[in-house]
Amino acid sequence: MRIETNRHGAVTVIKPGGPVITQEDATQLRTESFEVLGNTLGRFIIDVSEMTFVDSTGLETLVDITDELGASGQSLKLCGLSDTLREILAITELTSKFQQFEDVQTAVRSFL
Amino acid sequence: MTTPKTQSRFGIQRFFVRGESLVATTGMAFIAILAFAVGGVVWVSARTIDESVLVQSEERIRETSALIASQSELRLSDADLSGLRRLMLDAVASGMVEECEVSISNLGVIASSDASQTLVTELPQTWDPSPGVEANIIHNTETHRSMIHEPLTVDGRTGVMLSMVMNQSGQVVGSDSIRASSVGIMSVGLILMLLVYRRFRNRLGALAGIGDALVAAAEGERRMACLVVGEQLGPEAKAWNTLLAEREALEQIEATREIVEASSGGGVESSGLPAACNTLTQGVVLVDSDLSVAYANGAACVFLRVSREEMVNSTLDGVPGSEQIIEATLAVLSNHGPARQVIELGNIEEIESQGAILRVVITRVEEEEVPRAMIFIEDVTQQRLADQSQGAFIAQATHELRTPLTTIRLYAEEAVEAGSDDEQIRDKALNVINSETRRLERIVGDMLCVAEIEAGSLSIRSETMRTESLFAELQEDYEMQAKEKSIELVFDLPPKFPSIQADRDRLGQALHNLVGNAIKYTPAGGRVEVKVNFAEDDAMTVSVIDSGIGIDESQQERIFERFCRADDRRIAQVTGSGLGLALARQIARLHGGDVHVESEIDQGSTFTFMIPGSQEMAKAA
Repeated sequence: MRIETNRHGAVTVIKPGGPVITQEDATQLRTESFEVLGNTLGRFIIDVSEMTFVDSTGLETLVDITDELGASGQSLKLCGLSDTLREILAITELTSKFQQFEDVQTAVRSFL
Repeated sequence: MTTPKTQSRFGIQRFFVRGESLVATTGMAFIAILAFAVGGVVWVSARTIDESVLVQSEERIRETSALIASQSELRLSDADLSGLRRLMLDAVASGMVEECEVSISNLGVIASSDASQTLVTELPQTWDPSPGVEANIIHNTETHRSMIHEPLTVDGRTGVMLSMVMNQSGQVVGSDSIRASSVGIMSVGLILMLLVYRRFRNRLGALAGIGDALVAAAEGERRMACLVVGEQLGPEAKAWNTLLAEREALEQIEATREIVEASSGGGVESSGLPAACNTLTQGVVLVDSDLSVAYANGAACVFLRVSREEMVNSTLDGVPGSEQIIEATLAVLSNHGPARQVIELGNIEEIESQGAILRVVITRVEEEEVPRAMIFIEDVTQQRLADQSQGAFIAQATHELRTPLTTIRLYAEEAVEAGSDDEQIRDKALNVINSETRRLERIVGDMLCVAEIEAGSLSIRSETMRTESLFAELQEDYEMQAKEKSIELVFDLPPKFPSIQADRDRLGQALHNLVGNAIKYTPAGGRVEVKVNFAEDDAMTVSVIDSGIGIDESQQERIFERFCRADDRRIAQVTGSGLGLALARQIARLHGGDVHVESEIDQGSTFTFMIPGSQEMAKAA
């Protein structure tokens, strides 16, 4: 899976280029996210606008990231969620574990 | 803690039942008792067998001697001395009798199994009838032989004695061999036991050591040094020591927690304050006067890049890169120092290497007898970058406003000077003033628009409109500017413009920014093309294609942010507010569409502005 990483000021935006449906995808997303988390002290967003679907392994990865951020009082910021993704988070009762934003700009502004 | 009494008792115990000796002694004692028991059983069994054999043997001796005696008496009655001698030889030949002889008291041996003993060739008619020795059997236990004396009566005459030596060794051999084999088996068993003990001595030692440690722990001993077992005793000892180490680590964590609770004033845990502090995105650290850390929340540990355990159990000296914080904290803790200090760690220029700009506020906590310091840490990296962008924006905006104002002032002066004498100059001046005023209007409009976006109040007023006039205005506004820069400006418009639902002013504002940017960033001699297309559902796509300097791929998304301009030294001399593209995208999105860019460095860029048809827009709304 292609994962783009862009900087918006001091905020890093991680953008998976497709659905996270295999162990490999999840591992790749986890590795990338934890590396960015360590480098930026948690100033990062995951842009899921192209992540049309996520399986249990992918969800577990997102939960692990938000839990790690939780140690410093933060939670993972997701932006560009599709209806499917919102539904998955609602069904699995994980909605409250993440901060959700319409687009990257709004999410970046939340760090101000 | 162990008392002297318990230590002494423990010492005595260790002396008597220390380590391996406890198990070894018990094992050895058990085996010895077993060996004695087996030996006793074997001994009693052998003894019983011996007695039984002796009784049987005596009976057989009696029977045999009675038989030989009766046969001897018959032969003596017949005076058959040779028959008597054959009888003696036959008796010896039978194996049970070793020696056998018949003697008469005054004549001596008359028949014997040993032919050399016989001196009498014929049996006399008479002999001294005095009785000899009485019948008896004498057993010799050492030689396992029995001596039998049996008086004979020949035709009523006495004085004849049958003497025999009989062998019992065949019977006793059995019990002796049982004893011998039992002793052999026990010896072999003992040797094997010693070998096995030698092989497992260490393992037994480990178990015994662990047993001792458990007893000591039950007595109240908690010191690690007193409870560990030598690891050379095997895997059990290693496992035990690992367990002890883990227990000690857990105790340390518990102790740390207790320290944190105590430092938080007791009862704070129950109030949930530490848990609440952990939800803060600002770091909070409570430091004692000796710089030891009494409390630190999760965010503080993340900002200072240390683990919670490392942080709480150490002083600030142990936190890497905290020299400035220490200096400021010491100043705050000193008697005459300031009660509050604010410092910033890191700067924008070194943001890539340092990773963050941290704002640290240190305040003195006066409630304690010995003052403490509370340190608040906040990540202000994004704020500082935003401040920098806004500063740059103000500088650019000032420049943007000043340029048309200067132009307007100069041409106004020229028009006034020319008066009604030179209409051509006056008309040109008025045209320029008109153009620059509209430019100024657009800049101010952009700024107002940004203010509305910031306030979240930017909205559109959709109406049915035709766009021919909009593109005509665009062409008119930028034709002169393009001509001045020797840029070929081309409008590729469709033959027919359908009516669309849109906010005319906002749409014009967005397209002005796109076309204005294309001309601004295209060098002299270049080309700018504005291509307009309408789909069947009236969706409008405007592509602004230039042959300009292009945008690096890494910057292509960033240029749509407010106050941001591409990080490119080629545009350093080009003025710009960093608002135009952000506004264009925002306006497109308010119409249900979007703006995208495709670009290559030095090849040019294509900005595509798209708004959907009325039906799609209604859905988006």
